[in-house]
Formats: sequence, structure tokens, C-alpha cells
Amino acid sequence: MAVAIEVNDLYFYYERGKYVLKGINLTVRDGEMVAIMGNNGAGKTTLIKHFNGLLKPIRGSVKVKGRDTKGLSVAELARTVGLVFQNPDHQLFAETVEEELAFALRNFGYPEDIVKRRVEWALTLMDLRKYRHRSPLSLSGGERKRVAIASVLCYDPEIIIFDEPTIGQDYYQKQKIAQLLRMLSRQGKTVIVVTHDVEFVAENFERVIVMADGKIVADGNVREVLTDPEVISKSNLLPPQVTHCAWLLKDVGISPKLIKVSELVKEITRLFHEHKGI
Amino acid sequence: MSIRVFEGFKFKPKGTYFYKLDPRVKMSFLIVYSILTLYFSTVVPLSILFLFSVVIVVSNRVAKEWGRTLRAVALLSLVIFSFNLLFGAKGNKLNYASSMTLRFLTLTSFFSIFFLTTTPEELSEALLLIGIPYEYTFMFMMAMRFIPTLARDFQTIIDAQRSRGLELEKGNFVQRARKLLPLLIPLIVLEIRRSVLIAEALEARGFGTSAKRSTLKEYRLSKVDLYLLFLTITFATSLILSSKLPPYSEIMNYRLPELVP
Amino acid sequence: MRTVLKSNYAIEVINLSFKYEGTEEYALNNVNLRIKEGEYVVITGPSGSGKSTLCRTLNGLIPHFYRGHMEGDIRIFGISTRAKRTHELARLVGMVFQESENQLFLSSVEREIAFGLENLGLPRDYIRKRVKWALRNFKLEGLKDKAPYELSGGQQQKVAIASVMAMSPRILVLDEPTSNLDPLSAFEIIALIHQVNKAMGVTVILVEHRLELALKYATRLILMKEGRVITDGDPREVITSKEARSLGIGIPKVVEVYKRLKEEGIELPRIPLSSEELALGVRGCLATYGSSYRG
Repeated sequence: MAVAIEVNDLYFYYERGKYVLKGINLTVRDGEMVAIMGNNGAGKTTLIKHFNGLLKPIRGSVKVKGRDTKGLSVAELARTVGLVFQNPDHQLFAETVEEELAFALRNFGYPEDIVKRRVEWALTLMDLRKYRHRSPLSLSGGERKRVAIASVLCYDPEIIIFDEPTIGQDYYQKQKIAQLLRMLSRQGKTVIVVTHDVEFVAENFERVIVMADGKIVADGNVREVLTDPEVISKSNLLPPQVTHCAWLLKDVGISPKLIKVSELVKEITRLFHEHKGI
Repeated sequence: MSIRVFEGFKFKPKGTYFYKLDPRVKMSFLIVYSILTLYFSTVVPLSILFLFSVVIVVSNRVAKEWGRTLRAVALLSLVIFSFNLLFGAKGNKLNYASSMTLRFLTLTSFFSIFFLTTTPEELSEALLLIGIPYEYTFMFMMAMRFIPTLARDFQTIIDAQRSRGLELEKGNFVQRARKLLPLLIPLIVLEIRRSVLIAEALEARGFGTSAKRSTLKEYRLSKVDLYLLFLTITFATSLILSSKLPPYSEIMNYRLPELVP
Repeated sequence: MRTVLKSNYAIEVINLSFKYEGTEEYALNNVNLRIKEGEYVVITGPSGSGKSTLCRTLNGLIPHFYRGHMEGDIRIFGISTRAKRTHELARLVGMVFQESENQLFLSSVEREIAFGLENLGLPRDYIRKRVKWALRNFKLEGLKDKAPYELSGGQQQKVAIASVMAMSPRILVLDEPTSNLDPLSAFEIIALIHQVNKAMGVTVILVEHRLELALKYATRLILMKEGRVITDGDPREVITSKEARSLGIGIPKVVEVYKRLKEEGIELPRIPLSSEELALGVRGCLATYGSSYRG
């Protein structure tokens, strides 16, 4: 499959000499769903700001759909790469939800009939029809989050990046976000999610990239990465609770590479049956 | 970025001698030198004052932050210079424009020194010590504290809106002015929300108790404080005297030649 | 300096309802709670269930700071919050908020810790003593002169807790203190809260979504929904109740494993609230299971 994002030996600093990204190499293919994990300050947000040109490499290169971001403006890249920020309050400003959704479309110069159609589509998708004439600022936290997501999805970018979508969200809202991510992925979108919610990643992703101190310390299958004690300790993360249990029970014969509840239940049941069989 | 201007007005802990001064002394220092800078209107004494501020900056290891602010205001000083050169008071325009610009830079420099080496609390405590009510000094302190937060919020808002295709540099004046709305509305809403959260957190920490406030820090003038106070006064007096008494007064009042004779 | 305490209960919430000014719906709806001194209470529930509102009634922010219509009563060690303003309650109830940024105001950790005590106008020697105590107990000596807003999120929250605890409150209320933190920092903050409860004997009221971290030390779990208390009791019972399931809270994975094992016919002796407890349960069970079979 074609490459959506290619990062080559990327270095970046905000303040001369204090590197925040130190030689990042990664490739995300079209239609992939990838989680980027790491502690606060590992460089995750700085990295994704390179994907839509908000930041430009100091060394190395970032290519989006084969085009180097160096010569492209944010507005040009934004049509291809949608970036949903962590806090909806950093962007909501319009008088109505509808207007909020139309904002990006108008910036991109779409004709009004298309704007209307895309807004309708996004309102339906994010279950916001009943709020269309309300002020986004009058909505609850979870609803505001949905408006912010819709305001990016409405112009149908090929690559969609979410920065910490689960922070401050309750269980139901998290489930909803997981559903949305899967749906976007099914539609063939490339989905990149920055998060430190390890349970969320274990449940919903196949590929995970782990960052620590401006470098990538692991990139691969969720099971391999999240059950690797070295990766976990190097990146200051915590393993998924199931994995932690499996590690604690390694000596009685439980595989340490479990990440799902069903797997652990199966392993423990197997163990009990074997005991019975002694 | 315009945010850089503030670099030289933000407290930077370096622990050099200026930091250890009593805030009241630092405040007197700032006031005396600001007045001196406004008092002189010729190039020589203003240059001396400027150089003096540079010595303090360098010896307190804050040259980097100070430099950023000075660079950031360079354009503004150019404007001041050209404006005064073109439309300045009658008489010697070059001399007037140069001293005006120098005056602006020197003032910036002294203020920068003060804010780089004085925490907002010290400042508010100094104001308190000279009799300004706590409510006002505290308000000032909070404003100082939240400037970086505000700047960060604003940067994130700009990033978020640019990510949705907002192009600030495009369009004519009216169009560009309209583009400020998507930046200013979230900022205002965000900061209003924040101010409520700050207020409740303050309330929970006993702010506004009717009991008289006490302080952890105690301010007593040390030897170093007295030395500096003494030096400040001596230096200021000698500058003023030398501008009055020949033969120094001649050098001190030297005027640059007319540009167009 | 201590208020004379008039009740056996640290907190009594009696028929409490509250409606914010300018809104139609009640944020709290006939809430009744009695919390003894030294308890470690975790409150959870979906967004908008009234958890934060309840927290704000405990130190008088409601009804004094946030105006609205309040029915019922709250008593903190027998003292009604209606008659006391938040700062008067500050030495009984300390409160830590979600965003550390908005509760740290000063330019050094030391000054930050002193701030509350200064506001109350306590003598300088006493403030010094308390600041020293807080720096030592929360292991902040090394950060004493650092600016709080330049610290990491986890350290900031630690400073926030230390600054509140310096005022020696008997109750510590924390409203989602870990929701902006990365997992390891969250883990450390939860451990710190446990220490406050255990070593200092302070009653803890903790609002949290991350139950896999928070439940480990809880003595009591309260579920809220739409301004009401749905279930209230022993964490192990509450977390396995059908209310917990239908409410859709993030049930810790170890509890899920416990339930599924039970369906498979394997009953662990105790509902686990942490990985360690599950591992211990499985081990114990394996041992008896094996021996009883062989026996």
C-alpha cells in the first residue's frame, strides 16, 4: 500500500540546542491505525505537529503522501491531514455548531452547496443534529469534544490525527471515540492517535509507536510492544493491567504476553484444568 | 514571534548578586535610574546609563534573555528614531532622535533587569511594604504569573485554527481583522473559565480571609543592599553634577551635529 | 487553634439538593452521605453526574462561591457549611483540583506551600514549621526554589497536595487530580494520596475515572448518576454490582477477569482490586485447588 506519512531522521527543537525530537524515523501506510504513546514531554505532540506542517523539521524530512512538508503551507497540508486538538476550547468560537463545522470548509474555499452537504454529513456522523443551532460554548464537555472532532471530519481529510482524545472523558465517551476510530479506519482513513491511555491502546489498536525523550523506543505490534518490560520501563509507562497480572503469574506458567481480559481468563482456566489433571 | 518580547521581562532564577537584593532596593534602583534616563536628553549621559545597565546585565548572567527583548524592540526603536528624525521637535533633529531612541532602549534595559531578577511576589511584597494595598499588588502578581499561560494558550489556538485552514497572512486589512475572531473568542472564553477556576482555588486556600495576612519571608536590609543603595545614589548624583559643572558639563551636554546644516 | 469538633462523622450530607443559578436542572438531587473520619472514599460516575458539584459543597464553595439554590445541609465535623465560608473551613477541608496549573500561583514551591497559611494570617514561626514539614513529607526539598509552573504535571499535583496539606486539614477532597497526568505520575499521585490517608489519618474523598489505579486503597466506593448517589458501599461489592455494570463506568480489568473466571467455575476467594490481589488470589486458589483435588 502507498505511504501516507514518511518521517526521515527528523530533528527538532524550539530553543536552539535543546532537541525535542532526536532522529525520528517512521512510516505510516495508507489506511493504517496507529497509536503513538509516551509520557508527557516525550515529544508526541511535537511530532504530530510536523504532520500538517505546523512545525517544519530542523533536520531530516517529513513527507505526506509523497510530498515534502518543507515547501507546503499548513493550509495546503490541512486538506489532507486533519488534526483534532486535545482541548476543544482551543478552537470553538462560532455562534452555532453549524457555523463551527463550516469554518474549515469555507477556509478551503468550497462552494456553499458543498459546505452545506458536508456539514449535514458531519452533524449526522457525530450525532449533533439536535445541537446545530446551539452555541458550541453552551454544550457540555463531551459534546464540545464531538463538535471539535466533527469540525475536522467535515472536510474529509485522508489522514486524521487525534491528540489525547480520551483525556477527561468518561467510560461511555471513550467507547464512543473507540467506535469512531474503528469506523474511520474501516472507511480507509489513516488514523493516528496520540495517547498515554494504555488500556485504550491495548483494546483498540494493532500497531503502536512508543516514544521516550524525543526518540522512538518501540514500533510494532501492540502485543509485542506493550508486553515488553524493557519498553515499558524505558518509556515510564505502565503495562495494561492484564499484562501486569500475567507478569506476576509468570512463574506458575501464565504467558507474559497477554493483553486482553479474555486471554488471561483462558490462560488461568487452562492452568486450573492442568492442575486438576495432575 | 512577538511573544519573545516578554522573555526579558520574565523572572529567570540565576542566583547572582542582584537576585539577593531586597526588593525595595531593586525597586528604588529602578525608579532612580528611570528618572535619570528621563532627566537627561543628550547622547553622552544616556549612553553612560545604557552601558551601566549592560554591565549589570552581563554580571548577572542574564544577557541571553535581555538580548532577546532588546532584539525584539529593535524594530520599534527604529520607528522611534525615524519618526523623530522626520517629524521631531524643531532644532537639532539627529541629536533629538538619537537621544530619544537611546532613552527608550535604556528604559527597556532597566525594566528588563528589574523583572528578570525580581519574582512577582517580591515585587508585590515590595509594593506592599511601601503601602500599596495587598489586593492591588496581588492582582499585579497574578497577571505576571499568568502571562506565560496566556501566551501558551494563544499559541495553541493559533495552531488549532491554522490546522483548520485559517490563513492569517492572506487577504486585505478588513479580511485579516475578521480572522482575529477565531483566535480571540476562544482565548477570551478560555481565560474567563480559567479565572473562575483560579478564583475557587484561591478561595480554597484561604484567600480573602479577614485576618491580617502574614508572610513567610521577612525583609531586612542587608549590607549588600545598603552598598547598592549607596552606590546608586552616588552614581546618580555624580551624573547630575557632572552635567552641571564644567568642564564635564561640556562633554555631557555634547550634541550631535545637524544632519542638514 | 483547632476548632472544637462536635460530631462523630467527618462529613454528613443530609437531603442535599443544589441547582446552579441560571439553570433549570438540579446538579445534586437529594444526596445523603455519612463519612467517618479516616475513610478513603472514591466517587465515580459519568460526566455530569454531579461529582464535582458534590466536592464543592464539602468546603463551602457551594453555596458561598458558586451561587444557586441549595436545600438540605452539609456538616463538616458537625459544623454547617451554610454558616462558614470556604476560607473558614480551609483548616478542616482541603481541596485539590483537576488542573494543577490553575491552583499554583507563586514563583517557588516553598512560597506556594506557605501561601494558604499566610492567607490565614498564622504566625511566621508556625508557617516556617509547616512549610518544612510539607517539604519533607512530600519529598519536595530538592524542588523548594523551583517555580511550580515549570515542573512536570505529576510534580505540580504533588505541590498542590502539599500546599493544601500544609494547612493541616482533616479532610482532603480531590476532584479528578490525575486526569491530565501520564500513567506513572497518576500512579504516584494515587500512592501519595494513600499515604496522606494512612500515615496522616486524613479522610480522603477522591473523584476518579481511573478506577484501576484509585480503587486499590479505597475503603468505600460511591457511584453517582444525574446528581444522585446510585450505590454506596464496600468497593468490592459496589464494583461488581449490576448498577456498576449498567452505569458504564470503567470497571478495572482485574474485576472483569474475576467475573469471567467465576462464570468458568473458578471462584477466587476475594474480588481483586489490583493486579497484585488477582495474582495472589489465583495463586492461593491454585494451591488449595491442587491440594484438595489430590487430597
